[in-house]
Amino acid sequence: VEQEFRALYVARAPALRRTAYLLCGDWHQAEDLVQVAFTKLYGNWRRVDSPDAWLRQVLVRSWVDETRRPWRRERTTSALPDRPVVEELHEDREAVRSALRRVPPRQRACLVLRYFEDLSVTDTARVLGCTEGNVKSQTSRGLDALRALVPDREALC
Amino acid sequence: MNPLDLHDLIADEPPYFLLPDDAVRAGRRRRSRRRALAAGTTAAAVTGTALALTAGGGGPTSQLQVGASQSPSTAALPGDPITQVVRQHTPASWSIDEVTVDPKDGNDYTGWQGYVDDGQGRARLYLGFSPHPGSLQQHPCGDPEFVQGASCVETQLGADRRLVVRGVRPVGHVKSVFVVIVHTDGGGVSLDADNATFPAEPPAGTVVTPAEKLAYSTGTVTRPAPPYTTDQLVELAKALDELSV
Repeated sequence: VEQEFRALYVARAPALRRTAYLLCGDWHQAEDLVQVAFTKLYGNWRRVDSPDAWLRQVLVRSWVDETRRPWRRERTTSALPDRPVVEELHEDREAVRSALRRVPPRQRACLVLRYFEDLSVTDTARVLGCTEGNVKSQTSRGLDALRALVPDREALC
Repeated sequence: MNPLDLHDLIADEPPYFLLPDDAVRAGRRRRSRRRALAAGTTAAAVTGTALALTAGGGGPTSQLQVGASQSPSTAALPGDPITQVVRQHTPASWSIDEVTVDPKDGNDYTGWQGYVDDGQGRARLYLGFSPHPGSLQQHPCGDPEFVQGASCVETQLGADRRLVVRGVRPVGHVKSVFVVIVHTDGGGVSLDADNATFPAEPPAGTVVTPAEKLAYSTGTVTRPAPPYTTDQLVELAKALDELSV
């Protein structure tokens, strides 16, 4: 069992960390989320049919739960913070990254799952535990929010 | 057409240092806690006890002193065979404290953790028991994830078991020596001796901040190297392996 678990960890942890990072915007917190997901998986190994999907679901839901805690609630601001002048590519990336952090958590989760993980609407709904209609509306609102925050960026078609 | 490309946002991804060992250990502890709670065992028996063991003369005449116990159930720990074997294979002048014995998986031990001090600084000793076949790699020295750039030597111990000794990893500020005895069926025992202390894990269900989690996994270096020599760890591993068979 442990060999299978370790093999899955080596294969999936780095990718999950990337997803977690896009959700939370912090690499350290992303690692925490990955560890939490794998730790929970270890104790449920025999009961989990699809570890990969299970890990993704636990990771995303753990993060959404985390954002609901009062002391963790993210503070949005009306304007992007001032940043030093950097090369255009880097600046573009930072603008999108900052904007993504300002998108409400569940909308952000929809965007990450749909456009980074390439999940279908159905699979995204399964991960988030909501309806497909809810995923569609949250995704649409998330995209609108991003376009409003970074209207001139090429990353947003 | 994909209206959003997020892949560029991870272009500055830092190196990945997390290891499956950490998740396995945390998973074992989490599972142990859940089992203990389900069985009605006090949580304190899982999350740790302050048990100070002082050797009077070593071996069978060792005198055990229980101090600052957090739970009545900790009184049973001095009789725990794992703790006894660790005591017997640790120099008499060294102290052992903050012993945590994970609940058994059936008749099998699952994990043990304690802090050892030879007078130069407390440091953690972690023991993992893998009674189920297929739990351990047969040739971990061939696995870069296990070796991590350290020295790694495999030695056959008779026909049915193999000794693995991984030296101190060249990266990171916590130095640890890893000794494993793996059976031909993939079961066995593992010992991890560090040169650091780590914050006690919070009770199950406690929410920790990323900073707290980082502090737990990073530890506080208390000495230049683990207190045990490799030979001492090998002898301890052999004794524990005999006990767990």
